[in-house]
Amino acid sequence: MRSSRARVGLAAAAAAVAGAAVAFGLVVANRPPDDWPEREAFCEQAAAMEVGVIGMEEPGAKAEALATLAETAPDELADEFEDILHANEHDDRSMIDQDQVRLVGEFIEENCGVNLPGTTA
Amino acid sequence: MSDNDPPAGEKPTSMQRPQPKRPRLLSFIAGGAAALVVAGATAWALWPQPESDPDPFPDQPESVYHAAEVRTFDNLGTMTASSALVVHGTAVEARPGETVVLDDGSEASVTGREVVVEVDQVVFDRFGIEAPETVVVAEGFWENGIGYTLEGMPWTEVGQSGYFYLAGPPPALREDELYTYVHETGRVLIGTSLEVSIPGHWQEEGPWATADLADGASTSFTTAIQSAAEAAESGEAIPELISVCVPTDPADENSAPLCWEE
Amino acid sequence: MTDTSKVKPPLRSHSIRVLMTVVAAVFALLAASAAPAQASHSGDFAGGPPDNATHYVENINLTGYASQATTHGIVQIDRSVMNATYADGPEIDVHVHDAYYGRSGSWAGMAGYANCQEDEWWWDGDCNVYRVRYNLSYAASYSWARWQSLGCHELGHTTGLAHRSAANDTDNNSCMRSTVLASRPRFDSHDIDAINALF
Repeated sequence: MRSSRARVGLAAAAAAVAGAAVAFGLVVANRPPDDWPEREAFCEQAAAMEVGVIGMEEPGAKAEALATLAETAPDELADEFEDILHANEHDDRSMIDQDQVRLVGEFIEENCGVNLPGTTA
Repeated sequence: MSDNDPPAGEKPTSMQRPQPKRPRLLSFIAGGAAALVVAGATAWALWPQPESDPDPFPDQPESVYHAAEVRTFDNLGTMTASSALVVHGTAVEARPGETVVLDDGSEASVTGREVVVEVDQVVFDRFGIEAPETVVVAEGFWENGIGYTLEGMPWTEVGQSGYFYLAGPPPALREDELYTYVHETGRVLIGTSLEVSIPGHWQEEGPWATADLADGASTSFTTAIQSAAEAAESGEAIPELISVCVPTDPADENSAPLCWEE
Repeated sequence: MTDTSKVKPPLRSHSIRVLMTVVAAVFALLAASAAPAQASHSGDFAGGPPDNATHYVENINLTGYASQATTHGIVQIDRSVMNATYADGPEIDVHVHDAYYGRSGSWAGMAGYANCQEDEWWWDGDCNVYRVRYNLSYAASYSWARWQSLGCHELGHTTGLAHRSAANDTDNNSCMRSTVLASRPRFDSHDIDAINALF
């Protein structure tokens, strides 16, 4: 009896570990890296978008900056940047999920050490 | 009948009990629950957590306010003479100040941001006050939890040093201990490598346009500051006064203004 | 006599149980991961496509000169391709206030200011909602011409215009200089061109 319970318990424990592994994998697999080949260019562009930096009010400057960010972002953020560019292209803020841009903004602030408007990392 | 069941009619002995189903089921349920807990806790711990209770006074501004300043300065002498106090010092604290709810129809809750500067040199003292050990500078504000900074001036961080050109009413007319920058160009930060930084939207015009800002300790830089202070002390450089008003009937903004220069 | 505790359960049944446990764990993961995402939904985002070329301005109990200066600012904007007009309701782009805000704290030396209520790094567009405030503690002493310059300046910020400097306003006639003067009550052609370039 004790042995049978032990086996079931062992199975449950194994399942727990497997579940945790799956959980870890699902969450971590899509997490963008801290380092990627175009990080320097990415962060240079992010710095130009910092709170209070002049130049972003010039026509086309912000669109150009966003496009450059998208090109140099880690692959894991490709979908997010595609959505950002898409929403801007259609001049429709409601096309984007606010949680999504919050996470991307926090990623930029944490990795590039800049202070972006509307994002608090 | 399973292999484990006793033959029909035979009483189970203590050694031949049927497989107890309930404890096994309980073990399974307990194991499953443990798995759920572990998996859930793992996911919860790894998933980025949102701020459930946002900080009402975040450390960084999220936006700017574009101001129409009441005066601008063409030269450092006039800016110095117009300042209540010019000090060299180091920021030792940044904190939320008083919160007011604006009575202008917006009902906005505005909290001033205060920077405490430890003074190590008084460069100019327009009103002849006793040399202060610290001064409190109003710099930016939070409105409904969002931080704002003036134009392109990043908030001063604790540990930053430099020259602070401070405006404030004459001592007899002071309502509080706060100073503020006499102009957007009135904060000159000197970095650890002695580099000069006057971040803002002043676009190369004004009192620093012709100054040598390459080195915060360079002779030309410190001489420019000191010469301006001496000119202000001697009266060679005179302050640019501004008109300040209150309504004659404090309860009625439409009443005639009572104005004076200071 | 059989020691039932040593009887192996059928392998298939055991595997199914383990599999079910893993599936349950994965469901638990999904349930757990969905919770914070939902909880973080801001809910107060005033989304929707802004009509960038149309500017709805709200006059919030402005005093005499402040009200007229705002009208002057609207007239200046209407010189461009934009269409500014007074309105009230949920579609407001610019809320305009005035008060004797005082001469202490962040108000010291400020005749007025404009700030964006929704400044976001990822949005390539004009600010959706601006707030303008005139500080009567200084502006109450202004002449009508200087009030015009102030109204032009602050409303100009709400169109996306930044400050001009002596270097790029050589004829000294733009209300978008950092200090408002009676001699600069209007947008100059450069300001108008800059607004038009946005649309």
